[in-house]
Amino acid sequence: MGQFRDVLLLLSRLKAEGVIHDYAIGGAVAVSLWTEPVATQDLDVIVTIAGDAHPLDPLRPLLDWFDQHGQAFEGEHILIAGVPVQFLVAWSPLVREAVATAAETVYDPADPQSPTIRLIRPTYLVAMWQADQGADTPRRRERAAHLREAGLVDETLLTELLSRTKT
Amino acid sequence: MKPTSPFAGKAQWHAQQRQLPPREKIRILIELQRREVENNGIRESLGRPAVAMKPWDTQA
Repeated sequence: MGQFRDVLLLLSRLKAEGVIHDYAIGGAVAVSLWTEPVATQDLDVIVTIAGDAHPLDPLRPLLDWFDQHGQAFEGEHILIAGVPVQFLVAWSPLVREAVATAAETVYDPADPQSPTIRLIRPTYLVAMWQADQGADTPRRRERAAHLREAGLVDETLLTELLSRTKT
Repeated sequence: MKPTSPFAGKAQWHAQQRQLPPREKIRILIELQRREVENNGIRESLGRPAVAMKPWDTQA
């Protein structure tokens, strides 16, 4: 059985080796870590790719790296330490900004050797969902409500982020 | 501090959950995945299964 910290160590390694420029965790796991845990199927990792990736195949450098290192693929996921990870290339200027401004925190404060974890900030999560009509689902609206209830959404910043996506 | 009403108690509990460190939250998330499998067994027996959840084969 794997350990979740190994997922984090691998993400840091991908960044250190220049396979990706940066990463941040989004989706239900990010909401779980900002608020309260919920069951979810997979771990969404949004990446920015270093160098010139082909626009029609932007994840290729990452997939080639996993292929070379014998990492198992499972449908649209890469299985890392028992966790199905879905890698998504940052698909808009807003999402690239969300990755760049992600919060980095210690995974296990009780462990001096703990890796860190990078999370998309709550206001950016809500902005990403609201900016993309396809992402505006009842479940995501509920997650946004959880983030608001916890006082984690900066409404002024949210308005500014959304106004930028409409220009 | 003793909560003033059942709802205040719940709010306090949720606030405490939010303060847990990331590793503990991941441990709970994995536990919830396992419970979801059990719950889906019950739903299945009632003829209305949800999309099956596969717990992560990992430790927090």
